[in-house]
Amino acid sequence: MKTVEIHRTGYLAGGVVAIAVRVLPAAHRDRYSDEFRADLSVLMIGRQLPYAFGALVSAVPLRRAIKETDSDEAGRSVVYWKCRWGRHRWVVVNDDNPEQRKGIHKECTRCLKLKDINEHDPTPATWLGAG
Amino acid sequence: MTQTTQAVLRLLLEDPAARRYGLEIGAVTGLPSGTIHPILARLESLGWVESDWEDVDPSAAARPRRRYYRISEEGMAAARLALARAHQTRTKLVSRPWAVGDTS
Repeated sequence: MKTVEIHRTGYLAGGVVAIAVRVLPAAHRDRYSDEFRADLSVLMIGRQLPYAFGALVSAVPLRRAIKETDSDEAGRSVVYWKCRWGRHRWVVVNDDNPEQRKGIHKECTRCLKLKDINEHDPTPATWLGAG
Repeated sequence: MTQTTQAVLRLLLEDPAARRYGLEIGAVTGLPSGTIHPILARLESLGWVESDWEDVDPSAAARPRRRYYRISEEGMAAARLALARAHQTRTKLVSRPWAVGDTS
């Protein structure tokens, strides 16, 4: 496609694209703002507004696609509600470095939270503080 | 895989060395402008597509830089396989429309 002629971006189309970009995560706004405005600049005035509304409509799916990517990069894409409620799925794990822990500890298979095993002193720390 | 994603992948596979920008991909595939960027974002997150900025001075060009997309080495093999599978599934469904959901 040969689209080398540069056109002035219409105010309305520019405004709609600006709104579309605001829907996206902050870290990605500059990139997509530049992309959308670069596309607008090669479109005739009459075709800019349909393009801008297309960008606005696609902002939510685009945001979802970006969020999926970001959460995958963060390594945690799932919210473990049972763990948030304190209902972990503990398994006993042997430590490779026994100096840091007591040889074994518990690890939640869902959220990967660690917990020390203290078999001889099951008393809660808050109860001890009362005395 | 959706038909729109397949169309984008087919275009990028036509000439793997070619760098194309979003508007161009939309124009060539005939897809609405709004559908292209979410597809490209997903393909990029999978590592099937690479993107980089146009090497141009925006003030000299009197427009913002374009973001160019190209299929990656990893994406080429994966996309060809995915397209072949999608084609196979479509052929199967066309020849045996009652077999929707049949996993055997």
